[in-house]
Order: sequence, then C-alpha cells, then structure tokens
Amino acid sequence: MSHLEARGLSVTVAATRVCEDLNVTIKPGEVWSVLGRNGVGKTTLLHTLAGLAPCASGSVAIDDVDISRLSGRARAQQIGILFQHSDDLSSLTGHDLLVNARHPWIGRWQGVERKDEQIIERVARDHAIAHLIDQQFGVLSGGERRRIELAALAVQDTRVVLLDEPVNHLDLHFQIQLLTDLLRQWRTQKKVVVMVMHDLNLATRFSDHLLCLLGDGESLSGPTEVVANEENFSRLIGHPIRQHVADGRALFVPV
Amino acid sequence: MLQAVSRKESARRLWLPVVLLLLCAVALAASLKIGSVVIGWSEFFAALMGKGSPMATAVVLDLRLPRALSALVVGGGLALAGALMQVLLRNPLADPYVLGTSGGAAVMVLLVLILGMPYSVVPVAAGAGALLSMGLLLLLVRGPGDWSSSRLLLTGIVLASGWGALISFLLSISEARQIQGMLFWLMGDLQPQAPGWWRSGVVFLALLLSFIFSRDLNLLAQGDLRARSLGLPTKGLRLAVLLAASVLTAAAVTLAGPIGFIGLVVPHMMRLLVGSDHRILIPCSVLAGGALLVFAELLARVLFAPQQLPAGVITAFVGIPIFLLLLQRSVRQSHS
Repeated sequence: MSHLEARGLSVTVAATRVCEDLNVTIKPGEVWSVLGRNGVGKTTLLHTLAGLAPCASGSVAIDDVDISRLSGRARAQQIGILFQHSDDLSSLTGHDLLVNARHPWIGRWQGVERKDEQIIERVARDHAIAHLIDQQFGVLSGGERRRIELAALAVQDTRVVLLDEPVNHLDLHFQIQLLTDLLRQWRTQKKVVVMVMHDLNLATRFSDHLLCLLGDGESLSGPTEVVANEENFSRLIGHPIRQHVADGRALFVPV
Repeated sequence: MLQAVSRKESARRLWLPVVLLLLCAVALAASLKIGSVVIGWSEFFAALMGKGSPMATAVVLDLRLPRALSALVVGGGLALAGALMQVLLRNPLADPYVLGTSGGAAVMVLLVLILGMPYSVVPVAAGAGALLSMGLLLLLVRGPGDWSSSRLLLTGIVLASGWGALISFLLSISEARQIQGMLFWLMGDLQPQAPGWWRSGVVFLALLLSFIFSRDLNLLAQGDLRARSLGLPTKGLRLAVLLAASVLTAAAVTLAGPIGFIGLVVPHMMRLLVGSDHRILIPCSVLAGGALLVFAELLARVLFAPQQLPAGVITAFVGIPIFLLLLQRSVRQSHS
C-alpha cells in the first residue's frame, strides 16, 4: 500500500501562487477533494501531484520516493490522471485509448500481448463499455466518453488516481452513480484518490478529506467533518454559505 | 461481442499490408511493361531476365526500372513523412508540401546548383532546408494563443509561398540553359535514375524506427500532456519525429523535386481503412504511398504520350480536391 505526500510543496503558475509550504499525507483508501475558486490553480496542483508540472519548491513523494526521481514509465505505473477535457481525442476509438493506457506496462520490445488484451476486455466488461469501445470518441456523448476515460484509468492500473472534475457536465443521476460506484471500488482497493471538485456538496458527501485552496498560496486541509463548516466554506467561496441538514446530511447553500 | 471485434480487427490487420504489397508489385510490373515504346509480353519477360533484344532490355531495365523504384521510394518516404508530421502537429492536414517543408529543401538545392557547389552537397543542403522550414513552422505556431488548425495551416502555407517566392527569384537569376531542367524538377519530376542507397536506406530506416516506436506515436497523437501522463518522454520523441520527417522530405526532394499531397492523401485513406493505430497505419501508408506514386508516374508518362508530364502534376490533381474536402469537413466539425 502506498501513500502520496506533499512535502513543503509550493506551486506557482504565471503570477498566481497556488499553494505555499503545503504538507499533506494521503493514505491508501482515502479520498480527497481539492476545492477552490476558478483560477486558483486546482488543476495545476493536480498536475504537480501527477509529476506533469514543476513545483517551485518542496516535493511530491510516493512511499517516500520523490516522484521527480522516477522515470516517466515508473511514474506512470503508479500515478494515473483523468484530464478535464477530452475534445482532442475525437478521431480515436475507445479501444485505442484503452490500449494506450496499457503503455506503461509494456516494454519497448514487447507488443500488446494477449494478457494486455485480456485486461482490456475485463475492464471493458466491468465498466459496461464493451459496446462503446469500437466507436470513435467524437460520436460519443460526454457521459460515455467519461466512462471510457475512467475505464482507461482502470486499465493503467495505478495505485494513485487523480481526477480533474470527474463529473463535470454529466447528468446529476450519473454524477451520483459514478462517484458512488467508483469510489467504493477504489476505497476497497486501497487506492489513493485525489479529485478536483467544483460542487461543495458532492465533495463533502463523497470525500473523507478536503483540501481547500483559498488563493494567494493559502490552503486549509483536514478530515471533511472538521473542514466543512460555514466559516471555512464562506471564506473559500468568497460568498456567505449556510449549512442545512437534509436526510441526515450536511448541505451547504449560498445565501 | 468484444471477442468478435478483436478477431475481426486482427484479421483486417493481416490482409491489408499483404494486399498493399501486392499492389506495389502490380504497380511496378505495370510501370515496367507499359510506356511509349511498346514491348510485347514475351519480349518483356526476356528483357527482365536480361535475355531480350538490347533495345527492350535498355528500355525496361535501364529506363523504366530505376524510375519505378525511385517512385516507390519517394512515394513511401513522402507518405511516411506526412504521417509523422500529422502526429507531430496533431493535424490530419499536415503534409510536407502544403506546409513548406519540401519548399525549404528545394530552395537549398537550387542554391547549391546555382552557386555551382559539388553535387555531393545537395542531400545535406536539402536536409538543412527541410529542417529549417519545419523548425520555423514549429517556432511560429507555438507560444501563447490557441494551437488551432487554421493558424497552423495558414502559417505553413505562407511559409510555403515564401519559399516559392525565393524559388522564383533564384530561377530568374540563373542561366537560361539551366532553367528548363530546374522547372521540370520543381514540378515534381522523376528521371530514369535509381533511388540510390542512401535514399532507400533513409526510407527503410525511418520505416523501421517508426514501426518500433509506433505505440509511442499513438500516445504522442493524444497530445503532450496525456502522453507524458502515460510515461512518454515527449521532448525527445518530438525532436526525433521532426528530424525523421525532415530527412524523409529531403530524400524525396533531392530525387524527384517537391511532389505534393502524397503525404496528405495516403495516410488519410489508410486511416479510413485501418483506423488511427500507428502500428498498422505506418506500414500501410508507406506501401500505399509507394504504389500510388508508381501509378502516378506511369500515368504521367502515358496520358499525353509521347509528351511526359511531371508526376507531381498528377498527384496535385488527385490531392487538391481531397485536401479541400478534408478542410471543409474539419471546419464543419469544429463548428458543430
């Protein structure tokens, strides 16, 4: 089991300070949500955790190994990321995408073997996308694309899963279903899950920890029940937020 | 259901390269057999064995064979260069001719000829010209702002017309006796000249490397960030693809002048047949590109015989309508 750690991490993008001296440890089986206003640098932070964007100082480590010391291949065997946009994939089929996701596990002189095809077939069945994967990405709906991209993450089979707004633009019913199913599965598999979220209520409902980016390098992190309150969220959003209780769940509503 | 699909797919994977290989053989045979000098079947086979009349043997083996082999190598090389540029620029409309890479190489070659430098400098000059043009293009389209299709095409086409202007300038200051030959070469003309070892070697090596790295090309075609997230060292790979496309273009230009649209049309047709997986797309494109240019060269010889057209005229007549159609479709797609 592995844990993901930010050690004194400072990230800046252009003139924006995303976080400063951030120290968090994300343990196996935990689900974290990153919250913050538009343009505060949530995506940049996620890319930094994935080893795709540089940090100004500090480091990101998996199992006490600095990820900048890992080869690209070794890193891709441990960290998988779901990107926010998939417009640029329109000429590919779902099957192409799943084969590509297997890349970190296939050596230079190895081809895509029977074993890899079996993994792809199993994942396609588990994710109920077998009927979609021979179509071009461009003709699929947003929800179908998202399902295929999540299946690609399963094919990549990493211990750390990073998601950039995984339920953005999806039907409400599908948002709940997807988060419920996937997160249950990943929790039992003891994966480290970090997702950038936009919706306060989905974040508090589905994650056990929150990382709030408050802007100007300030941040706030901890277990959801500690961090999620009117004061913190009002500050996070920059607008007064009231807490209500419905069906035994805390709901955060802007005034 | 998935089983059936993968079986169907793997069956297709096997037959298409075989069919294309046969097509290359048919194209070569037709190109050796047909021409302004009529040679009967029995005489043709005798000439192939080297036992025919001196005239038939000379026509088949010394005139038609080297030219057909050159067409095969140039066509395959240009198709591969196009496929690689399409990965590098992430645009299905990229082509060494349309975006000025061939033009850069041609300018350098003309410069070498006009300055009267030794002929051995020509390949190096062509390579430098292609690389310069490609480097300029990448430099101009990167940086802030959107990396859109229209911006790339516009920049490339302006670059190509810039090279065109330089070519006109060089032609107008060169000696009259050189101009006819240069003009024909600039229209994409194949001479009865063998492809030579270095050009065949370049195309073969580039094909081999592209095939070995074909899964990496698949990843690169998904975009830089996605490719890196799957562990690909994209910087090195992009540089290698840039070099390979430039060298391939240079090899083709030094032999046959700037022949257009093979690099655009062939990978596109192959994508329709086998999808965008480069493991199969690359070998199929090279074979189809070779066959297509052999046929185009044959057509150029017999269409207005005894008058010979440059093969580049034929490929342009085929390529331009297809290019416009693709452009039209991509514009419609980006607005839907």
